[in-house]
Amino acid sequence: MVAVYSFIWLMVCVLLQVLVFNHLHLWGGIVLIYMLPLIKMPVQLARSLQIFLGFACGLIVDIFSNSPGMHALTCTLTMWMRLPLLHMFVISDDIKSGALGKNLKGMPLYARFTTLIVALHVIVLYLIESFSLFNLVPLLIRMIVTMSLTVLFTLVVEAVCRDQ
Amino acid sequence: MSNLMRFFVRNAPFFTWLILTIISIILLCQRNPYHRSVWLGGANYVTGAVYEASANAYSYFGLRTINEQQLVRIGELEAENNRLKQMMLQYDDAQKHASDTITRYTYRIAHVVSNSIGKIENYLVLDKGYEDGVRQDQGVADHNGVVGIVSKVSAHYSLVISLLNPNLRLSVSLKNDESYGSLWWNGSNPRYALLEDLPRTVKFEKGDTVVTTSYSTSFPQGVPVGTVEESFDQTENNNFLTLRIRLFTDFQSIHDVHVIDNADAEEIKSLSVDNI
Repeated sequence: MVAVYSFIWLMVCVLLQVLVFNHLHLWGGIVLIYMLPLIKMPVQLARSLQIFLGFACGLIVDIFSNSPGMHALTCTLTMWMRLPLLHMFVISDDIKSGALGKNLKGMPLYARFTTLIVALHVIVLYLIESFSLFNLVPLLIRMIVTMSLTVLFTLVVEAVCRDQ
Repeated sequence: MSNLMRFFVRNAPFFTWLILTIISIILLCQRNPYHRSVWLGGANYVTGAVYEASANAYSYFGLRTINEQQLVRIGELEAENNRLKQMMLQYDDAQKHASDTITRYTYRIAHVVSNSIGKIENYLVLDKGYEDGVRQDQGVADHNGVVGIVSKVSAHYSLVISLLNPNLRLSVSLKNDESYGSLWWNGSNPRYALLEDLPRTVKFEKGDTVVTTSYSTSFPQGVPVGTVEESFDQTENNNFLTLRIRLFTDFQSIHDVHVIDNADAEEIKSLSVDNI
């Protein structure tokens, strides 16, 4: 049931991404809202399933963006790295089942984890997209803007959810 | 054997990641738009239908601006029409040339269902495919200027390689000069492109219009592309100029475009060196 719920939520975010947020640019950067369900995917799901959902999410974004493989590769890597990154902030014995927010008590801890995982995702994504360091300054600007917007969006959503 | 199975089960996440990563890399390596499998393009049936539904909703938001632009354009076309009529009456040659050009090219209206401007390589998807007469390598322009060239066609949709894509090089010339150069986008600003390989002897001023040449089968001669913004400093040994061109087409708000069909395209292509 948790897997189905996660999948539906992921698909809603992916559709919002390709139909709305891919078209909203700020200095070449965009908000990657599909990062939100990837970051918050319940920890009790089998890790293989988490990685597969990441791949499916990336592949759908790719199909709609004419960039086959780019997002799929990055999302797969992000989901593979998520648990090791989570272990940097929480002792492994303390990782309980349930939503990720329950494991990362306190906004500062959640913010640090989010920044790290989004930074990893964005850097890998844009390096694959450019395949080189051609036009380094615009590339860095896009990376920083996308990273900041995505982290900001994720934290705002988390803050609103926690208040409720 | 059971040990081997246990090893695979214990390391299932790693193997899942490995297999999916290999699949992703295989997809990624097919970067050439001509070689992409049909179902993984933006021009397939499912993505096209989803994009079409959202484009229908979006198109209402920009109607007022588009109407104003169309009215201005209609005014310009009327003025041009009158001027051409007078020319045709005056010159038999001009009349013959104009009628040749008109009969050779046909224009199909298509709607943009998907568009990107923020990536390194940008593409558009149109809601017309080969059943509507759209073919690969046909030119695409909107009421402002050149948009791109059709790269892949499915039954009802077509994938257009945008002018905002470094893989597209367009043969263009200054309106007041016969010399031609090559226009391409360097991936930075969607309002500007670079015009390279223009002979150093060409005289130009800021604001001069850049148009397509007759050397490509995709566009008729004289389709507007942009205006000259500035020239880059050249070393003395270089015999060619590089100009920064401000594009006429506003890629952020493209809705309706014309797909230009050149009736002689196949015949011209059959004469190319590769086919001899």
